[in-house]
Amino acid sequence: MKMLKSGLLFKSKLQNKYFYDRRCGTSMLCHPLLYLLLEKHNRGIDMAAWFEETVSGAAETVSLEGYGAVSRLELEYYFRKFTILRENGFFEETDTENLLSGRLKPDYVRIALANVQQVTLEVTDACNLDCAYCGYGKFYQDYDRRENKFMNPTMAKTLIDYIVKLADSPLNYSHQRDISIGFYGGEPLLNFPFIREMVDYVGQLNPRHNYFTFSMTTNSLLLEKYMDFLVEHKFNLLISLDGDEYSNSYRVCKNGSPSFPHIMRSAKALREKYPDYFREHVGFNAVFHNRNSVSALHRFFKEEFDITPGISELNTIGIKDSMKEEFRRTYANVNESLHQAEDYALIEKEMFIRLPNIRSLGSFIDQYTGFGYRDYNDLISTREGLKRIPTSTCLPFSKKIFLTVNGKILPCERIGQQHGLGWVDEHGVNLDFEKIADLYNSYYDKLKKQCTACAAAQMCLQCLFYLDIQADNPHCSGLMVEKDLSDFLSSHVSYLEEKPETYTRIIQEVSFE
Amino acid sequence: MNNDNSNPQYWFYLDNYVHLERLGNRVLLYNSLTGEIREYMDNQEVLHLIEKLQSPENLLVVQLGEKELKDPEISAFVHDMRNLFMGDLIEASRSTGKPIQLAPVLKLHRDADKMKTESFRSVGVNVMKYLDRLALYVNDSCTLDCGICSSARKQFLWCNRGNTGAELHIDKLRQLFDQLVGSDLRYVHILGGNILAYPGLHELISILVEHQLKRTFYIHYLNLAPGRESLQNLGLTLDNYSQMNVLVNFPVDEGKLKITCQILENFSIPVTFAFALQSEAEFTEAERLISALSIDSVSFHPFFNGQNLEFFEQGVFVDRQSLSAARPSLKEIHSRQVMNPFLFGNLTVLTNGDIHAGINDLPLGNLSKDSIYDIVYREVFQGQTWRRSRKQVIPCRDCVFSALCPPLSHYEYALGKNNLCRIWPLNIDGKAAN
Ligand code: SF4
Ligand code: SF4
Ligand code: SF4
Ligand code: SF4
Repeated sequence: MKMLKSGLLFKSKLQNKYFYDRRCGTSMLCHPLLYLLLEKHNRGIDMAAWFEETVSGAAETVSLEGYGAVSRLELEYYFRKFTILRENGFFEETDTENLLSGRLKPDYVRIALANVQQVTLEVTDACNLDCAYCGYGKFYQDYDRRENKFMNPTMAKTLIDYIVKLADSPLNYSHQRDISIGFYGGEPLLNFPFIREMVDYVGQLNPRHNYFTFSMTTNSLLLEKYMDFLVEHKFNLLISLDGDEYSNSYRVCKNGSPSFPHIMRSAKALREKYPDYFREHVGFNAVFHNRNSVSALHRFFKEEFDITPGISELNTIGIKDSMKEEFRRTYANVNESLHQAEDYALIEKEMFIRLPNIRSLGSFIDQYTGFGYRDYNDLISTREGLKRIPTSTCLPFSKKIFLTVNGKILPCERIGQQHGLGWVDEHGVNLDFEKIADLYNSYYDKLKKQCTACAAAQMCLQCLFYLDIQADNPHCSGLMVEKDLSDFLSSHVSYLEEKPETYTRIIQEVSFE
Repeated sequence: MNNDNSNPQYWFYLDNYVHLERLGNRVLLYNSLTGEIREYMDNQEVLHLIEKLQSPENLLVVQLGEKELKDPEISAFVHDMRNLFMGDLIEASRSTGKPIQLAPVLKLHRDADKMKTESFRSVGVNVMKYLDRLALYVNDSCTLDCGICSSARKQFLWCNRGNTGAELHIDKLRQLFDQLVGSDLRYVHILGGNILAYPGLHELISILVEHQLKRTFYIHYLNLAPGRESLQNLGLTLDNYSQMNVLVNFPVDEGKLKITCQILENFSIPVTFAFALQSEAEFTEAERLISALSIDSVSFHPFFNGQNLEFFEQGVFVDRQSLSAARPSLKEIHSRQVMNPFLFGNLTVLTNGDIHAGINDLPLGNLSKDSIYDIVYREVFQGQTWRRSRKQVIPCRDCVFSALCPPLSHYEYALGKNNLCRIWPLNIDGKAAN
């Protein structure tokens, strides 16, 4: 049995005192004297005995190390408060080993697929740009060879048929919900005939509980040519653009010329011709690196498109050893850039949940206050005795399924392609739910020792595919000792002390799926 | 900050296990750890302070100086909060700036009303997971003639005689359960008429066994004695998921009840005797029978017959003491703000196939026409029952106790009012109202 202390004490930058209780799942402001008692309790001191000893025969005031003089009445008061909290389950120990003993069962995988929300198709591995930081480019080593292939429509249809069959079965517990078909590349528009064929194909399917929507990430070079079609089918479009001409200068055409003018021209043409569609269905994503800044991004997109872009940092996993130095120079951190911005407050107000610091604050509020609930069932269930599956990796297919141009099936497009869970070929879809469950369980086992000792275990944010999980003893970079967790809690509470109104705004505006 | 020695400063804060409700000039504070309740009414100083505490810039912490603490109203309030462990004062000199409290504001990520307004949300996601219990009225034939028959089931789970010969066809039920494999359905209640006269009972049981659903059979004790044989044939004991509720109402034929007890003595599934009660006298009599017949598992169901309001006022109506003693958790309070945790996830299928979320509400559809998916979806997003909280009904929506009170039940319909309490109208004089 691995027991962790449930109560975690932390101070804000302003030296205010708080505690988080792991078992009760809640954090709160704490009077300094109560804090002192909790410190003692956490050190393993028998508080009842300590209290007896301290007040017995004492004068009206007692002097406490680390606090100063305190009246006997005061001490009694906080001891009583401590007792009330204890009686209500605070500051117990938590058995993390038992808590994290959940296992993935083959049926869960099947059910997840019957309820899948997104089917992402790697339409082609070809691209008409040559971005310096491309996930399939010089920095990375964890993808299948790029061969300018186009996805075979039969293969994609085979997978979709398979999914629709499951989604039509009683294993589907959603109703009137969309399944989003995501076209992903390379540059998907290079294989437009495929896209058209798939849109036509799913258009004639009639799933019982679902309807199809479409989404695509594009570099927009071919956008003008195909925009009528995309608008007609209400594609949710994400255009990759890193900002102004210099900011976007890692995104170059095959001949080395800048892509910026092309992207701007097509994006503007789209907006001109279809302003309503543009407002409702088009977003931008900027990759963050050493040639842009949050401030510049914010200004640029506001001026040019009156939009706040999504910002994503470079993926730090799977970097070739030989490229580590160059990667380090290219990489930049959004938070740092944000803090350097002169118009910090305005940017933060307008970009809000698109910024990583606010997203992190959002998950803090959701996970560490105890007042965030996924859905109605969560609100009426008892969490007591719940067994969790370790790590924060999504259960396979519970979010999406990704089909590569080579027919490999993965749980998403953001992870290395060595993590295939099955494949599609001329014989059909090959998914062995038993094997997938075994594979995941074996990964959990590898991490179990770290997870049960990890201060963040209950609220883990780590996807195991971002670790070197195929190694014998993978090391989790997210592992936290108590000190890390209290620093994490402290930084968020300190932020809220500075900007308390953000708390309410997040609760009102931000919902997680 | 004023750190002037002549006016030392404090941070006054509320603990976040405290539920705070402010409506107009009334304030209620409830300590979810101890059950203590405090109310304030028409107290301008306190109202003003509470308003400040609740503002998003303050997050339940405000600065008070020694001078402000001398104001009698403020002082009394702070004193109360401290005494009841609902809030506290921290000397401002102990830190270098203002703390915050993580205010207990409910965040429900899949709030159905919010989802409807957000075009990018997948509205119907996981809805079938909400279905938890089904009550099936499989037939309506019964040869008895109990006085409470026509209205009992509108108040609690009870059999009902129609003698129309209508039945839920077993094929329909099979189709229904086949559709429900992916739901989180856990419990099925089987009621009639007299379910022992339902020809599909045996097959229904095997369907439920196959789907591993917990099931409770509702049978009136007077229907049990002659049904001894059919009972033995039922195969009720195939697994551990069965339970029987034996229904008893007054006047009771003690001899027959005794026979029922004897029949059930060697019966291997758990049996509960459910007593419908119309008066204190019946309650006393029930207690006598329970002890005389050594019945161990019982439940009591007050039955409103139009004349016994007083019995309800005594036994069912809530007051401050009972709410405080029930000590709902903050999570329960949160759930009572946005849903009906008591009725949520329940559907009732009547013998004519009509499906209701609340038996007193309009049907959502019919078993023969509508898919259960459509029914559940309808109830989650447009329904009358699962998400109806006291915040939506008169007069509770104007009452500071609305999240503390138990969720709406069927009794509110039977009695024709929502305030089954001895609290409304609120008539407190300012402070302690307990
Ligand atoms: S990154 Fe990991 S957790 Fe996220 S979707 Fe992919 S597999 Fe799931
Ligand atoms: S952060 Fe790493 S070690 Fe900690 S619980 Fe998550 S996966 Fe396990
Ligand atoms: S046993 Fe049930 S159905 Fe029959 S008359 Fe009595 S209450 Fe009605
Ligand atoms: S009026 Fe409604 S909410 Fe208020 S105490 Fe009575 S039953 Fe409860």
